[in-house]
Amino acid sequence: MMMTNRTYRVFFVLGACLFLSWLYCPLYDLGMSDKEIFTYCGWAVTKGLVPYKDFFDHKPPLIYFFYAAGLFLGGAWGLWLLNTTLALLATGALYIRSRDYKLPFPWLLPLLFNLMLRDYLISEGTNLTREYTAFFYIFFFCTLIGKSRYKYFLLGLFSGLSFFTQQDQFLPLLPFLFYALATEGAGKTRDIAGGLRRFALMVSGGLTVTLPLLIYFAVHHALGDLLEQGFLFNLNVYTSEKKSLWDHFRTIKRVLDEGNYELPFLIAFCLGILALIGNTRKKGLILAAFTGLLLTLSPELMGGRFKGQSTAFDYFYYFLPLSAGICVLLFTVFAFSTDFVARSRAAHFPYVLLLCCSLSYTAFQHATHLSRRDEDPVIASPEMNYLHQHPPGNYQLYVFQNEDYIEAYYEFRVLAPSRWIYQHFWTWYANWDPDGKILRSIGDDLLRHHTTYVIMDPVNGADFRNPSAKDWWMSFMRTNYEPVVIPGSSRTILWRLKIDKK
Amino acid sequence: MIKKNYGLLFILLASLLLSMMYIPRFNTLTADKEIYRYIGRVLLRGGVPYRDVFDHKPPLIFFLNYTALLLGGDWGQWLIDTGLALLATALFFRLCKQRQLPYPWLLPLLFNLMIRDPLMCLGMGMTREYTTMLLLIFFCTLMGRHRYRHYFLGLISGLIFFMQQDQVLALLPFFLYAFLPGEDRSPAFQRFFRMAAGFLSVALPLTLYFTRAHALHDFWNDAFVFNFRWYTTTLKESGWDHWRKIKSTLDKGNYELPSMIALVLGLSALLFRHGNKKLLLLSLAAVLLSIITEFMGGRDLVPNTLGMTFTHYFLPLSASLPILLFSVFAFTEEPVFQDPKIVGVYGVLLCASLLYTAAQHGANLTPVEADPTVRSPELNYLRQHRPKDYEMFEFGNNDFIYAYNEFGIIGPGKWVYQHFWVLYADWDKDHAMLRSIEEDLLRHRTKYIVDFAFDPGSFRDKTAFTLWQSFLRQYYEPVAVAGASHSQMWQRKGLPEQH
Repeated sequence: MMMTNRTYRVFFVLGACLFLSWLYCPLYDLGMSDKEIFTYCGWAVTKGLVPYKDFFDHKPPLIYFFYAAGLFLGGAWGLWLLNTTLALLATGALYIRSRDYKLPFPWLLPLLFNLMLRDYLISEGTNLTREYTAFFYIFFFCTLIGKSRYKYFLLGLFSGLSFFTQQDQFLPLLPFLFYALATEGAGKTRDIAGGLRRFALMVSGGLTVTLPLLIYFAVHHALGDLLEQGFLFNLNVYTSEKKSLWDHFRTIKRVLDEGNYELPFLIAFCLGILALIGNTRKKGLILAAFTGLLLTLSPELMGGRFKGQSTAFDYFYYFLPLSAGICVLLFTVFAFSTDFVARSRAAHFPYVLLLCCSLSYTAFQHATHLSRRDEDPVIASPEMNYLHQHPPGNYQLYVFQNEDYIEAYYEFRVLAPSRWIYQHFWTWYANWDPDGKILRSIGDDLLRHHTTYVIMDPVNGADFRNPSAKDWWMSFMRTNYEPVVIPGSSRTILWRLKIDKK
Repeated sequence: MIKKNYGLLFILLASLLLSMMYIPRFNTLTADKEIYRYIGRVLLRGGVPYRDVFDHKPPLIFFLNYTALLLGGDWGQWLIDTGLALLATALFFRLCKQRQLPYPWLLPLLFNLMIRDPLMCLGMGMTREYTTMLLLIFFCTLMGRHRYRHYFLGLISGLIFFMQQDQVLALLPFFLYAFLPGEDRSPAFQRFFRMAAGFLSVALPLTLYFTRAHALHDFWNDAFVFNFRWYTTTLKESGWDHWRKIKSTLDKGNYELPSMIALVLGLSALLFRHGNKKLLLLSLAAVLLSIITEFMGGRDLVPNTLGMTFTHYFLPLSASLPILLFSVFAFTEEPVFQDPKIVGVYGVLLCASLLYTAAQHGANLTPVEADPTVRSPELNYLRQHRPKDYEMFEFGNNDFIYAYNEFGIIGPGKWVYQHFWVLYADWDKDHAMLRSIEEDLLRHRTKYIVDFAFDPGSFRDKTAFTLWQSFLRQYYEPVAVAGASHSQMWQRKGLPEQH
């Protein structure tokens, strides 16, 4: 069978997506505390634990269910498969739309999306919440400019999926939702009744995600916990640290520069402005895409900040949604330009090189310097080797402030003895747990379960902003636990329950 | 004022403003520049480069610094530097205007932003800064129709060659262009002789000067042979290491976007309709040749592929990239590259990051007084016990050559800097040079030695270290300097104790 150019292009872009995803398959996807937390939470959900009630986290709930589904399908490989499938779907959808709108290089934006999404200088691996919302952003946009009869329902559905995966990533969808409600259907049902019908369809799509979640948490008596931890916590605690606008600007510049996003961002930004002031069609959609691009940066203005340090910490993965935001904006510019970006290949060719060169080089460097997961210092650590020889059971292992070791729970398939599976808030906030109630509850849980092992740095001890909390915790540890001498480890971080406490 | 002059006024003001950031009070202190200033002073006192003071640069930079001293010292140099920048800017603007580029000030602005990029340029006064300006003037001359243009091309290439040898390589593609059939009505041999006459206008006076001073051999040996025999033989790096270093430096120095955009547009223009692909191709070659120093120049002792050393090697890009972009936009036959909006987008991409860097630099200027060398306890001590000619010698810290210049004195010996003892294991194998330094110190009864070579690592050859330290201890004694944890100040024995 003769392959057409179109078939080659499809193979090329899907092949590139698969190849870039392969760089993060379980063999090479290195540990990172957030992902380890999600892995534990997802696995715990498959064991019947309820998010927020049985373990603390402040992400919306969908990420735990994604992890649960992936792990249920086939462990780490199942999760990778789920992620890669979503990437392939997003790539395919964007390619089809690029082709439908006759972009000169229909594979360019899908390729750029994948290169940015898999840029290891930004992404910190796969399966983080904003990676999923980037997929939803692409699905949402492709639906918006498509002609599906279920369009508005699907827009609501993807909005719901984004909101319950990573709250802030609902914001970039808002301009598109307004656009869809205000201008879509012009000439057909551009009346109040039509608008209401579209709105109702969107709401029903959103409720398709929301209602099952609400019912699940209501059935498990965890609705209050969901609201408290999944939403209010972020407003009251997590976003409470402020930094100046200049500092935000510096962070954005630094991350874009060091993460290799600088050129795509600048090109999209400049072309977006030019499209808005120039002679283009669908300016409303371009404006929505431009606003959406800026709103994908909202985590920088709303997220974590100082991590207990005097200088702000730059979170690179907050910028991952730009991978979708930039591609969507460029799509609107390329698809609806009339005068300035002619549809000639000569006009687009330099953009192809400028957008992809540096990111392709980064991907190439990454691909030729892959580190195997089993060489990860945590996985290959003497402590983990020791635990492999003395596998702990449920509740017999607790990780305190060494968050990379949270992967040990899933590695040994054990449940943690406390719902406080990570504890960096004591390091970050001076007024966290002022009465020591949470800390004592952890101590009580450890003693109640006779937890055998605790992973905690014995040399530096635990890291607390509040000295009295540190004193209490260290005294608790010294009273009940003792460091384990492990061959090959000069500075063991493993503690064992004292014999007289068993 | 008529409208067409606003562009020129804007770009000249921008050039002036960017130059103002490097007025003497804020110019970066760099060892190389201190050496040039020092040799300029040696000339002023009647000395001769290479014969009376060692350096391995060609001589024009010393004469330039000498002229600057005649004009008023640091401000004189700033005037020469700024004047050259303004001249190059104005000529390039005129060329862009003649060729009807959408924004004739854009590429001259890019040139100025790049050449004054604080992350790359090391301040004003480096040799490659001057050759970069000359490269742009050369190109403007080449594209012009002046009846003496071939003479001027030869003259400028002579100025470049005797300012920084390797930078003449970036001119080669344009020489080739000048000899292309159809580029000029005059016969090729006539063009050649005119160019040769221009080149000789620089070369002959220099040769005569050194001949009269009996320093022709020293000139040849130090400025040319030395670079092949020693300077380019240090640490060899792999092709990948060079590539990594280039990428890292361009990225950290804010040259990444202009480089990528210029190269991408250059390559794109080659693939699409273009009226002068020969010039385009030669301009691309000139870009690559302008940074050939990366493959020929000095090196770090260990591979430094992620750091920011020898950034000034990349300064010539500030001329070669705008030239390449000029070749793209001036002769393109693709409507999209002639569209002011498209060119405007590229203009923003080319200049945005550099403008931000310039604004940051302008808002955070650091005065020379804040430099660690200028504030050092040793220099403070010397300010209180001001040395005269030959009375001070610094060993092992090139930045401290600043002291000679601050006091307006000359040192006791030919070897004003000594890093070759660190770089090369077989340098001065018989210690003849080291002994000549010691003899000079004794002959001039030099009062102070500021010795930074107290660490054995300052010499590859440990016997040289032993020799130097034993000399120091035999004839000099350490002086306690207020504020210095480890005294590097030595005073000749027998001098009355000073406080």
